[in-house]
Amino acid sequence: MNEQRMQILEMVAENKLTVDEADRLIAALDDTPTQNQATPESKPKRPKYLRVLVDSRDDGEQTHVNVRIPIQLIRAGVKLASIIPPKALDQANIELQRSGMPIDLTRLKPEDIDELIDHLGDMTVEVEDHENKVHVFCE
Amino acid sequence: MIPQIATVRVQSRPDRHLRLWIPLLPIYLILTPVLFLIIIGGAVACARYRINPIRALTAGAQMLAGLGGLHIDIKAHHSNIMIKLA
Repeated sequence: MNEQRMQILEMVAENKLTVDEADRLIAALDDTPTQNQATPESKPKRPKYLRVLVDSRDDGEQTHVNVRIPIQLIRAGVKLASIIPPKALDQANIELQRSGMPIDLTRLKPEDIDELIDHLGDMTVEVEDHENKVHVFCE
Repeated sequence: MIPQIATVRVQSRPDRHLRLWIPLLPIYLILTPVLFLIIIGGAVACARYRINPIRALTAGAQMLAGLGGLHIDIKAHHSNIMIKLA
């Protein structure tokens, strides 16, 4: 029994509170989550799937693409990429620089990418023009 | 979990469509001898490129397990193709 409940019961014993008032106070305490008990809603929801939706209209004909990729697959892909030998990464870096993307893949740690994937849930990319629409999001 | 069933739906015309439910376990069993060869080839490649074979095997298994839940649906003109792994 916690301290607040004990105080309420002591106040009932001392006739400072009626039984009804004590009952309402205890019910209010039950409704209030304690600091140690996090409600399920307070936990950040981890995304399970990456969704890619493409709607395209070409000469009046509509094309619709709907792809759902499990986040677990992306995670496994990242782990697979982390075992690429450094020699191959150096070559990839050179090619990336040549393409105008100066990214050093050797400095990319799996933990960082894991964290990046965890935060994908907040990401939504929406590109739209008069005939095409691309929507990338996590769910 | 490794995908157990693949659902494939192909529609070439509005009035004609084909839906297949393919159990993957028999396919895994058929591919077992090939898998054995792939593992040997992978081990040789890992030794050649100095990659930890255990990490490579784990990553490969995780890739396979991660395929469950993959869903691809493409509709173009009057055709439609859908692939779902569960």
